[in-house]
Amino acid sequence: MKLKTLSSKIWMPTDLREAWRLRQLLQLESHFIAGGTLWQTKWEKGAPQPSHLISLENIKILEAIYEKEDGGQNFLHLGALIRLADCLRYPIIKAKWPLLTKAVKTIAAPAVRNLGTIGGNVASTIGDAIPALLVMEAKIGCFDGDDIKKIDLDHWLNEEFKDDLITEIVVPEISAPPSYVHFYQKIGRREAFSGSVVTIAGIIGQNDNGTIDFARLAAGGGENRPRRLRITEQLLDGRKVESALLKKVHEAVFSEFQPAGDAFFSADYRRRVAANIVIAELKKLEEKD
Amino acid sequence: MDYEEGKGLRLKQVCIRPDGVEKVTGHLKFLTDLSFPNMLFAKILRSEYPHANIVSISTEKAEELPGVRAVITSKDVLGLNGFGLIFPDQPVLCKDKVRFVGDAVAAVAAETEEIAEAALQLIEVEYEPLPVVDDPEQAMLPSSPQLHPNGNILHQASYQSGNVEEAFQSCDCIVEETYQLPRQMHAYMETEGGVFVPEKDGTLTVYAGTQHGYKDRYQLARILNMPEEDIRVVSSPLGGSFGGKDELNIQPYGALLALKTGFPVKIHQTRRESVRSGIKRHPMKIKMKTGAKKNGKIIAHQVRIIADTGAYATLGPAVLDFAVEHATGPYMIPNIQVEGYSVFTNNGVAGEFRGFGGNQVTFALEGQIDRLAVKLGMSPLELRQKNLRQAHDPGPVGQKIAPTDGAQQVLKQISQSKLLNSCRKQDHNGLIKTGVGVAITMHGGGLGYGRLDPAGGRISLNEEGKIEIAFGFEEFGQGLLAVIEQIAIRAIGCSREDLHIVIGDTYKVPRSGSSTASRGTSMVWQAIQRMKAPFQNSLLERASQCTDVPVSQLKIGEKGVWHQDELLISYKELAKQTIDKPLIIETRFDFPATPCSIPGGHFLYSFAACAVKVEVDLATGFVRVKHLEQAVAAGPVIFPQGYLGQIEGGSVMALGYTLTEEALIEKGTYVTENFDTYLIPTIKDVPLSIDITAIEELCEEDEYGPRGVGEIGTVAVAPAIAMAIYDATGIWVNKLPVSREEIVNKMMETEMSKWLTSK
Repeated sequence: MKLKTLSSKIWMPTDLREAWRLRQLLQLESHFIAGGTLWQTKWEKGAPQPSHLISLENIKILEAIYEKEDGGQNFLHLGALIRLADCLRYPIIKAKWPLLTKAVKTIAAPAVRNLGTIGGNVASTIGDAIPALLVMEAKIGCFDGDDIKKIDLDHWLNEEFKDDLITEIVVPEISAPPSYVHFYQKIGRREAFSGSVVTIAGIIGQNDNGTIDFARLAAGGGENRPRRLRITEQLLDGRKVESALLKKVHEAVFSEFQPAGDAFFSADYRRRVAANIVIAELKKLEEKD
Repeated sequence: MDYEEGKGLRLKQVCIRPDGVEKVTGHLKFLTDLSFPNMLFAKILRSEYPHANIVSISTEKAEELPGVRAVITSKDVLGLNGFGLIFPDQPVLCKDKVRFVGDAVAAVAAETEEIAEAALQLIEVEYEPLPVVDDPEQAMLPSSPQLHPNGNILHQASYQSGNVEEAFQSCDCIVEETYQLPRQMHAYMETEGGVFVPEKDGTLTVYAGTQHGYKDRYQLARILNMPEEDIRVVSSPLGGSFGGKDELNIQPYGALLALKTGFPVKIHQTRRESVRSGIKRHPMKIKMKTGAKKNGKIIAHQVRIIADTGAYATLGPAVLDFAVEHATGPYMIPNIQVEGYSVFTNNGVAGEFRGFGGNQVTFALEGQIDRLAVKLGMSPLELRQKNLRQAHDPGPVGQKIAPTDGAQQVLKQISQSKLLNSCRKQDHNGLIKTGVGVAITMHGGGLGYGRLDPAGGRISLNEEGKIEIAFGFEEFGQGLLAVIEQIAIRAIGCSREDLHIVIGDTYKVPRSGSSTASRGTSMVWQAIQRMKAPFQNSLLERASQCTDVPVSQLKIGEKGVWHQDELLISYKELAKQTIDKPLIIETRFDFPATPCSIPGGHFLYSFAACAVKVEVDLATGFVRVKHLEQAVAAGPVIFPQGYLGQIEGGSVMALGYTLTEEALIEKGTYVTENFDTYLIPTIKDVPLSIDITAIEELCEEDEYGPRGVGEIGTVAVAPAIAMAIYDATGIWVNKLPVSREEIVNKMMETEMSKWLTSK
């Protein structure tokens, strides 16, 4: 079989500064690339290949993965180049960051996860790992030419797209009591290897007398940039699961989550599904009561 | 896979198919894998618009691009500028008008694929866009733009018996519903392609997959203005077809460019090119009104079918005839009125697809039966039983058919299915509902009355001493070689090592007709039954002459002819000694059709019943098929794994048709351009448990042997899933693929308050 070749010139910098310098030099004619799986789907759709691709694959620092305590909290540091498949390989991630494992398992298919990176998933701004990372309040490391700056992922997503070089994802460990529910659901167009229609993640906790004292929700899906559902979170805080609350929460998610529809699923469907899933999880919380 | 004792045991037998090892190890070369010295690469320029006049085409800049060897437009078509299996209304290269986004306007041969691609961009075509005809019902109006000289109605078919209007007056219960079926894509793994080689003697060799090599040769001869004999079509193996490669696709362009340049030319479409230009399953809108007496006897059935056939005819008329014929399925209804229209639009091109119009109309018919059952308060199985055909009843359009008890057999078998009585589990939130459904179908084989449907084959003892069996059928994954091998070994008495099977090359094979309409297995069996006695007799006579042992003491066996448990003379030796007088037996006959003059009316039918269990997630509308069973009555099983593969594969294809697959077109342009938006099932979407039962007994007077099972497994699945969804949720599905959005919306209406109540 004849393989198609890229028309782009490929640059293989070995450190962050060199990568940054190339990007500054080549500007709009270039892109950073890691696993390349998302780019491939775009090119397949007819998007032009840029003249220059700056591959991050040889930058060793981006392959680091470790746990680190900071201010009494434990953090997972995932280098941007860590392959999605590798995220699933570490038992420690499964044990302490189960939502991340759950999320990564739903991304594409095994062959794609062997190539695709966690950094790329986040850099796409629509990756399926993002809702899970948002409810864990992950930060990302961004290299700005001089330093690596830590930025809240939520904050970064809400900014206009900047020309950032993501170096790592930093995920706090949430030591939640068993009375908490953690959930992550990706509703695709089929069971696996499908783009997301709705992706929703959450952590909701209640104290001993059944009052909700911890609520984080995030939703995305399709071309929709995932975001926290803060109005709904506020609505939940300090309340008990009861019929009146369920109704209000359903309405709140429906009005707060504003995804775009496409030829396959309308915006309203996505909003309803997101609301339904949150209700289903609240009912689980009630069961735990 | 579970099999109960005594049923379906034969399906457990294991033997390796002749092409099995090469295929699973990836060693097999498909025709699109071939390369020749000095080979050029071709690309086809397709229309920018779904409907437009062509004002001008300028190829000069493309021709000047270094590496381009030829650019062709309609001017370069040597013979007839048209193709089509029934009538050639599809231009090879459009001259003044385009009618769909896959219409070819020009083609380029160049030294590399990249140059050919770049050259396409340099071809300047000026179009004058015309209004897009994208709704078949609108297209039927006189005010609609007309796409062809004879108007927008390609074909009309009808069937009538009794008087429906009167009968509806005396019905106790009437169900009326409109069903909408989607445009499904074949999604074969190997996209259309091949290599076209101009030979030194002026002939042309075509290496390109098809379902009927001789038919391609006939169509190409017309286009190239060449004698058929000067074209050799090598056409197997293919990486899948499912009906999608029976019609010509890229062959005309490869052939014209090879003749023009004098060099071998390769074309291999990308998936996007395949989606854009390839045929699809007919979308249909089917309105049915069905009435019954209180006791469940159905007495009136009225059907109106509108099929969106797209821009050109291909097999559109035959697909509509098939749908009309199967609109009453296996039920005996005294008053019937069926009318069908196949309508031209600018929505791609619809044509042949596994199931051939039966899938659409069976979805509607079985939907009617289930709705009637619910309305009558009767079990769906009981209602079916009450109206089911008996072995000697006429066929669905009142025609004489081969006696068959298949309908009763499959219904009885599926009624015993454990899954129908399995317990309904609900999750603790009550958000996941379980339901079961059953549907049955009958499906005609062969092309039917009034259509040329010749079959045939050849057995010979070749020079190498192999028993050579040749058929003009094609191998596209269905397991044809294994079927030929199994039938031949059993009929002749030799071993598999003694055989040499030849298919897929018009220079080597006899005419057997198309590998379509579930006819392959049936025709191989019938041909070998016809040839076996003359071949065996002749072989034994020769052995007798060579050895002076009387024929009565000889027996055909492994490696050669045996005498008293000893190999007397090997086939090799026999071939050597009789080389001057080759032993060749040929047969030609027609696929049996009904003697009644009904266009496309069938004579041989197979039957299937499908039971499914589904889970419906009310929060998301997601439907999961958890278990699927099929009972199939299609005569004796020839090759067990092939049979299972066809029914399991057919079930999965139908599952996709039901739940996710739709080649979506908006204003004449495909929205689903590739497999990232056109979603076929993955292994995760397929139920872990699929149980198949083969019912092998035929009626005593049935001498037609095994039927092909290429299509039958795809037909009853969708209506069974629809019924299971109703069973789980109370929602009637009347449109495929099943809309999750509709399920969620309806459930929100009915269950919302319960849902939003805390414990």
